[in-house]
Amino acid sequence: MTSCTMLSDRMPAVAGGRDEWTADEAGHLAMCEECRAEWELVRAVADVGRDLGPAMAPEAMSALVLDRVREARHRDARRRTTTWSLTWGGLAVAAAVMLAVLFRGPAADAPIPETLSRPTTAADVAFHVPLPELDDADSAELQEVLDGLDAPLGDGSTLDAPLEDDVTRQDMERMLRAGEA
Amino acid sequence: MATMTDAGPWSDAELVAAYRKGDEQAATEIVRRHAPGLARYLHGLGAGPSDLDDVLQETFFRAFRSVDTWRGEASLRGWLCTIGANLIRDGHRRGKGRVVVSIEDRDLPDRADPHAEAEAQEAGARITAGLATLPRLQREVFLLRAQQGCEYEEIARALGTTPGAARVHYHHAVKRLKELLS
Repeated sequence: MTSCTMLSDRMPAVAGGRDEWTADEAGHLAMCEECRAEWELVRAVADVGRDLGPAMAPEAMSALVLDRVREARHRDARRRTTTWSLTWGGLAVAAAVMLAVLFRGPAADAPIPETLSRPTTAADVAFHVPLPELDDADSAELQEVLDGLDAPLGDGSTLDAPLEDDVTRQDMERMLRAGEA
Repeated sequence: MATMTDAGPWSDAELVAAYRKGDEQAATEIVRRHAPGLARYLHGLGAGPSDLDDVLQETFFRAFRSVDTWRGEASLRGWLCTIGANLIRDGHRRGKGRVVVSIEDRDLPDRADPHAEAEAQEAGARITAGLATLPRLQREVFLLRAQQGCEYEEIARALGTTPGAARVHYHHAVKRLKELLS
């Protein structure tokens, strides 16, 4: 016995010409108004656009599409390469800067200063400044150095104070830019 | 390596595998096999006849470009239909929606019976107009089922829903179209 659900499930196959109604199904269809209305609808939909299709031949369409796919893949590959180059370039520059910072200090064969060989404390920084050239100085010489440090710049100071017009603002900016570069 | 020049009908999965290995004839065969049905489906979704070639090309372009994402769980036809439907939906969303052009606007080949021809054209136009009023999922499910002959399981995989939900969408679409067309 054919039910409406069974008939409904078979409609697309029959409408698409892949199957045919059995006698039982055809009988149900003749009797059931609901199924007949659905069948008319499915048959009409299956028929819509039957004459439609691509105007272009499959070979031509396929060739166009594959050309576009190849172009898109090349573009993707180029983009990936550029991204990797920039990433690796950036990493290399960062690594070079880090190495330069790490090895800029004393020569590689120089003994490691005591302050670097053990943890540094605030007290170390404040009271233990390693200045070997002052180790053998007597108290008078030390006082002279201290006086020189306290004196205002350009007034008997041991430090070289820049004279006016010695360095212009433009020179200073150029030097700063060079330093930043 | 086997190529499309070998005799024998190839399944969709075999064609896709051959294309992935670089056989471009397999791509041509995929286009030949699926373009006509896909064109009818896209027309049912609202693509005008004059736009069909462009939409088809774009659909195949997207499909071949991301062919590695097709794992054979859904049918190739269902997968292509989903890509095409997304394209049409995106076009509408961007405000460049395809204008639904009635079937009369296209030059159809002459048929023996002009009266039957006119009736078919009228029915086609009414169906197309009716389809346009359905919610998206109902329209896509109905077309995949009634026009493309897909099973509910296949439709569910293609549209990311369940077979039960696909069946419900189909019956809602039938009911609404019956009301509209009666």
